[in-house]
Amino acid sequence: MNSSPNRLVAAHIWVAFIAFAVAAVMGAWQMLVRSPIDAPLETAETYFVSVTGHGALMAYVLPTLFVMGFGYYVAMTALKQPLPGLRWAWAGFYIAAIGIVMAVVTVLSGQATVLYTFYPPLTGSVFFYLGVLLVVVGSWIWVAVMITAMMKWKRANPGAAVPLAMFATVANAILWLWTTAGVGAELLFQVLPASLGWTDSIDAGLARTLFSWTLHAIVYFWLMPAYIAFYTILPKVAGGRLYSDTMGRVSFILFLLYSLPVGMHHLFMDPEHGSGFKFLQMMLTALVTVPTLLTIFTIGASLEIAARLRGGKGLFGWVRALPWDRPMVLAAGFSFIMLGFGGFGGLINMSYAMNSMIHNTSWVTAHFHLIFGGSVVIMYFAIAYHIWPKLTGREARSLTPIRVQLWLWFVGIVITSFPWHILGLFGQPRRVSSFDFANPEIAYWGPWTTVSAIGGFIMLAGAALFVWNLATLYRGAAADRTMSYAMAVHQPREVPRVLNGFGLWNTLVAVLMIVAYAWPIAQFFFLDTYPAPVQRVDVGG
Amino acid sequence: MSNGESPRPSDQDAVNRRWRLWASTGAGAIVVVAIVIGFFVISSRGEGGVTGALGLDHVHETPEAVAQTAAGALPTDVAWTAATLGLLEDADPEAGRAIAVQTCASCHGEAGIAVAAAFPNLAGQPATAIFKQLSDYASGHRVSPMMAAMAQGLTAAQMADLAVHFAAETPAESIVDANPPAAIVQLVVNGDPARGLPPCSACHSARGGPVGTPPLGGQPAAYLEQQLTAFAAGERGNDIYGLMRAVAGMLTPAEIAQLAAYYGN
Ligand code: HEC
Ligand code: HEC
Ligand code: HEM
Ligand SMILES: [Cu+2]
Repeated sequence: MNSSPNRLVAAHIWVAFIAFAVAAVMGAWQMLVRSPIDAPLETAETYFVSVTGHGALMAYVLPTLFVMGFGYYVAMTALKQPLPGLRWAWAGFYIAAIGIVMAVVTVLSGQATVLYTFYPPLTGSVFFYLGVLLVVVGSWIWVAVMITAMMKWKRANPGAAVPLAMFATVANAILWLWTTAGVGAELLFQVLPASLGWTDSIDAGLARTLFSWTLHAIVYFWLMPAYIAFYTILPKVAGGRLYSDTMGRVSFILFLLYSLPVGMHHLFMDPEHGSGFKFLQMMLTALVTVPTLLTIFTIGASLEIAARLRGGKGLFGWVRALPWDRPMVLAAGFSFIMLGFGGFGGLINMSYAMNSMIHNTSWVTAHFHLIFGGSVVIMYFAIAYHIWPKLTGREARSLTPIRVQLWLWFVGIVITSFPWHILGLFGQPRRVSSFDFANPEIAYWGPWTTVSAIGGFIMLAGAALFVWNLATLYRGAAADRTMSYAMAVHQPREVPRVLNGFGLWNTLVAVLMIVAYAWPIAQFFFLDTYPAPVQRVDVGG
Repeated sequence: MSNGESPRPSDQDAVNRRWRLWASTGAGAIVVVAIVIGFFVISSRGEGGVTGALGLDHVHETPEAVAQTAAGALPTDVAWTAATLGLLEDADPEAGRAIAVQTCASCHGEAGIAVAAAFPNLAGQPATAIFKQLSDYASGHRVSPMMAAMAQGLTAAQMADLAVHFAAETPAESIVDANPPAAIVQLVVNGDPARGLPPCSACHSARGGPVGTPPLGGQPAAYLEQQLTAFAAGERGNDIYGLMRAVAGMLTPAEIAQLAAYYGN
């Protein structure tokens, strides 16, 4: 493999993690501001600059660039063919990079303190939205390259099963295309015209509906690399095989189907939708338990195979026989623990009634730091550690700093997010810059926020050590550059056509989206609605 | 391992058909069950029936209806739509000053500093607050025979002109109480969660509050006391969502007097 495609992968992953490191500093500072401890530069204005920057970098830049980079890598290594459209891929990278710079500069200059969810009718400088849109445009090029790569491979290998890692990556690419349609429409037709001063009002109900289209599916887009690693890398690193390739395909297809027509569960407390659609989407939400359980079972079985091959015994005793010293296995163990707790919290969030208890409290921020910042990002680390020797041609000089880093992140997340959940149950609101801990009503929150802030700094240390590891550790022995993926116990040469492509599944997604969203969106055009006046945050007043 | 033999093309077609059929039936069945429960079983018990389960329709048709459901009676004709805010944006303070000199100055002063403690100051109030009160006097939502006579002769554009004129003037100096009762400061800054009373300062401060919230500092104390008492008794009911009525209704007469003294001159 020549080096330019490798540089493409590394460039994406570096940008993703530099954004992550910058945002981690912001996150730790935010923790201080919300705690009784004094922080430098502590004002409400700087807080919302920081939260907008932190949210946009962590939720948009880190995962998008990471997924793109990892996707390009999978397309080359799983399909064992050169990447089609390498120039296009670089163009996508530069478009996204320009967008990132544009958005970050705008936020840091205080012109777009609208939070990463945009929150219309709040309206900031147009350059923030254009920046985010450019990142999305760059990622659409990635989608096109992924689909082209799979089609090309299928033509060259008629009838053969697309390798699972690539099948899952294309599932994610298609999911992403669907996902971005909602927020894309909101930006193009509502937010940008308002931001440019072409309209003086914005229908917040419609905007929230379109954003909800994106908001849940984007979470699965973030999550997919972790699942791809569970199915196609972890079993091999653990020394075994994937228990079932078909279960993998079915799970990825179900994630595609049931992460889209469900976003209204973010609008349970909103008045612009009726209970019927809320119930329908809640019920569809519950279906993600199916691929989740399939995954737990399949990966559990795969790990058990590995452990027993290594001499593991007993009903659960085999767990000890797993090679926990290997970073991928260690990270996956941590990831599963955090998924377990986070999944429990998620059940509460998605229940129509219990949701009202934790709506807009710190519980929510704690939940997604545990699931996304914890379970998912720790797998991003593991993937990066796994492919870095193959990209750089050098092994890590030592695995100890890697293990320390994974431990730091895990411990940091737990110490940060557990008290944060409890604060949410106490009623502490999210997205609030400071609390008057002198007030006896809430004084008892003080110690909890302090512990949480300490956890935040442990995470920050973990983030810093991660970047340091990537930059300096891979100077050891020459490494084998071939990337190989886990074989299944029954490695298929052919699979049913429906499990080898996305024709049927795209049709089903379209049908489900029409059922779930056609009327909730259309009503804004049929009924009399009262758009909210635009509130600018980027001009004095 | 038994993966050697792959199905022949005709088998493939049969396998595919089965997958298609079952996948579509499964997805369809779930949707049907969800629709039956969501739109018929649940909504038949809730407000609005089947159309209520659909969306926007049942919740509120108009902003007036929103206000009505919350407060029981229509409190005001003013809605903060882009059109209303645009009217204020395009208003002319000089035209407003001209009317003020003619008709308002005798009580409120030309620059909005009242000539006697019987009249409220207008200087430095947000234009939205002044505009809303004038509209409410004109429409009878806020009752004052004296002000109704003044406001009924004004067009909406003139009200807007007056509003921006007084809004731009320097507010009256607020005489700060050197030693306010601790319980009153507590009400202002923290409210009283036990009674569900929000702090006054959450709305009545330079940065807080819904559109059209008036500042309180520097008003004659007697005027503030009279307004709070009127809210508490429901005699003044032009506040959207009834929020001042709710707040004032929870205050004791002694607290009302002390709050008026705290904020007022
Ligand atoms: C004859 C005396 C008088 C004149 C002239 C007068 N007002 Fe008033 N104004 C009052 C009184 C008294 C009140 C308090 C009425 C109440 O209790 O609701 C008042 C209240 C107001 C308020 C409500 C203030 C608040 O804080 O809620 C506004 C606004 C106002 N006047 C504007 C005007 C404007 C504009 C003019 C000129 C067009 C004007 N007034 C002319 C006596 C007057
Ligand atoms: C939730 C926001 C909110 C809170 C909390 C609140 N107010 Fe108000 N207040 C308003 C608004 C809005 C108005 C204007 C109502 C209208 O549209 O006529 C108002 C009007 C008033 C007025 C009439 C002023 C005038 O110029 O006519 C007084 C007096 C007042 N409030 C006192 C208080 C006091 C004292 C407290 C605390 C005990 C308090 N308010 C708490 C929102 C609030
Ligand atoms: C050093 C590690 C981190 C710390 C200390 C930290 C801390 C914080 C804090 C204090 C907030 C603000 C909460 C509020 O105002 O209610 C926040 C918000 C957020 N964080 Fe983090 N965080 C960290 C890492 C991450 C990671 C790894 C992710 C995801 C990949 C992430 C995603 C987010 C998002 C999406 C928000 C929401 C912003 C909003 O409400 O608009 N954070 N974080
Ligand atoms: Cu969701």
